[in-house]
Amino acid sequence: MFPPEDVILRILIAAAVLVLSYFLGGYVKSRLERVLSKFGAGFARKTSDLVRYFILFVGIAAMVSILSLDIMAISVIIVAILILLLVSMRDIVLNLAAELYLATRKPFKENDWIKVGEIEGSVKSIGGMDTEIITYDGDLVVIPNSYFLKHPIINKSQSLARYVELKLSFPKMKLDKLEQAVTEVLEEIKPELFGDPELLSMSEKDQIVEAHVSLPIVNVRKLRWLTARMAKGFLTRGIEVEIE
Amino acid sequence: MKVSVIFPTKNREHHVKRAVRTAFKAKGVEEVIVVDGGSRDRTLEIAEREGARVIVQSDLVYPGKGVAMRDGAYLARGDVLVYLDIDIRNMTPEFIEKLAEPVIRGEADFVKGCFERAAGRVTELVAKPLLRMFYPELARFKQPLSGEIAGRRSLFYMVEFERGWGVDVGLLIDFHKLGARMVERDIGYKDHDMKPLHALTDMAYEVAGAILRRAIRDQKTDPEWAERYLRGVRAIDLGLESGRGFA
Amino acid sequence: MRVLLIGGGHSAYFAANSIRGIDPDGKLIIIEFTSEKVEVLSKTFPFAEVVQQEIDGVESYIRSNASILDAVIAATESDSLNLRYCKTARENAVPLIIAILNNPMNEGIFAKEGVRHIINPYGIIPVELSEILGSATNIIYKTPSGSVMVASLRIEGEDELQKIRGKLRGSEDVSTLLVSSSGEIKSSIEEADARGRLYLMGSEEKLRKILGSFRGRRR
Repeated sequence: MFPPEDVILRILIAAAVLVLSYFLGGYVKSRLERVLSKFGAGFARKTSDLVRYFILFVGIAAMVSILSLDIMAISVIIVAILILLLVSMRDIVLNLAAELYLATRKPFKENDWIKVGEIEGSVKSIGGMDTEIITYDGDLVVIPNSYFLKHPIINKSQSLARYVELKLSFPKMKLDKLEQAVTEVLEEIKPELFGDPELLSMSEKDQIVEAHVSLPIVNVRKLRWLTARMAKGFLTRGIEVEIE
Repeated sequence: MKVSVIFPTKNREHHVKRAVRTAFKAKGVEEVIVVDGGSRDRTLEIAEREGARVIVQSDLVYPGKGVAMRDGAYLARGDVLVYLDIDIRNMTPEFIEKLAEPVIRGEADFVKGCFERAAGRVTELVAKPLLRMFYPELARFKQPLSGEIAGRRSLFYMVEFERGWGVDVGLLIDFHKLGARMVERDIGYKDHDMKPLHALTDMAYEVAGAILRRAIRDQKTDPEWAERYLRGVRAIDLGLESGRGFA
Repeated sequence: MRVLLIGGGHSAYFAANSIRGIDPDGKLIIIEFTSEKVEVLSKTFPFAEVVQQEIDGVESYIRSNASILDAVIAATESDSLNLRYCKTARENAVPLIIAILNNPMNEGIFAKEGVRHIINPYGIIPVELSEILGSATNIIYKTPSGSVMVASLRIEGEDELQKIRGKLRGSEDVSTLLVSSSGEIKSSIEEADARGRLYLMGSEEKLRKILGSFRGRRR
């Protein structure tokens, strides 16, 4: 056992070291956060928090050492716990890496129309942990940012309009009458398009006539509504149609 | 019911932090909005840092208090709006709670805050006499020009916001015309800078203009009304009509 | 295209006419808040569908029509309302969102809310004044994407002419046009006189580098 005055001195020094590491950690955190902010606020905050905790850990280790406790055993236990946590939270670590990737590389912005993996839609918001996308059907999909590290991202927003090709299948009938009907229906939906729609081709196949049209559209989510309007347009002309 | 607190402001960097923090402490406050009149200091930056929603008023005119109040109302999401001056030195969350409470409780649609302070010169010499003349039913308000008000957001969308200093009395009259239930609430002592005398001319002019415009709109100035009103005013008999004169 | 234009004031007037010119066959819907203005707008813009909505009702309208709207243009007389409507449009994935500002000082606030296309109707004032009053350098136009810029530089003297010639040598990605003091237009900097105004078109980064070295000049 140590003499009492020695114990008190050690406790005081240990406390001072702990307090110092606390404030040093806070100072380093704020400076680091400022420096890393160009990579994104969320990433900067999380990384600087990690550094702060590391400094605090070193302070605790020093405190334990000053108090002559068995630092080895405690350190091993703490490191083991940290490793277990990291392994179980690997997705969170991946998300942190993804956050850095999205902030620096900027493969897309809010309101862009993107396709990543099987998911396609408009980017509603880009967060630290996940990104929200509104799909073609109006569904809100929340994608963990780590998903973007594992799948290629196609940004379809480089131009204002997208040219969508549709296949129209009609029962066999006179081609010239059908062509006129298609032209009229396309004219009817033209106000909703970005430019002129185009009848690309029309051909007979067995008992079916197939037509391919190209529609320049801005809001991809509008497609379903447009195809419904087209179908209605054909129906009022007494023509059945299947649109793909 | 959620409350939005709105501070119209300009160049108030020394007041904004305390005001925004105090506002957030009040019960029911969902958001604090700072509408800036084109500050050249750090007002906006500090407001944003403290968590307030900020916007610069759409029209930078002087005086532009009404424009700022209107923009604040348009930006707000709360059901109840509370307007306060940002430079009240002794502001507490109770100021806001006292103003919002009657509306939240469903007892009133519009609340005018009154406070203990030296009588305002424009209030006593311009606003009150004109209100007594044209809107006697509003003469009961001790401080008709008070900028501390609260009301239902939907009603603020139905009234006209004067651009300048006449906005407070204009809102009072317009809410009255809408049939809103109006109360005046004592919010205590207000520690606030008063304007110097020379700055009051503009204010008086705007206030008078706001009341008179509404009086004309509400047909309170037609000859029939004037005659009815003047009949009630005691005239000093100089003997002019009777022909006695001064002789 | 189906465009929703919100507002019935000055900005909205100019916007409606512009949209008509850009997309004459398109569908334009104008939202106004008062019935009197709706009547006036219907007569002024017979090609548009004019709809009356309450202030809070506009957001519901945007939400329920977001899947078929191609663009929302917020052009009311209040930047607060414009901000609200742009935010709602963005949250509901309307592809194109444009705000026409009343107060240019709100540009940063709109940008923070994710509004990418912000029109400052007063932006032309410094440009026109600079040209008229003969400032040394002037940025005349920048494309919304910021990739292409048009700028002008006043040249006074042989030294400056040589300096700019040096900077432009090897810069095939910068186009130039020189207007001499006599009003003559020359397309090649090599033929230019020592006095005149040089117009440059190129990437913003490149032009700023070139113009930056001419900063600080006085008349």
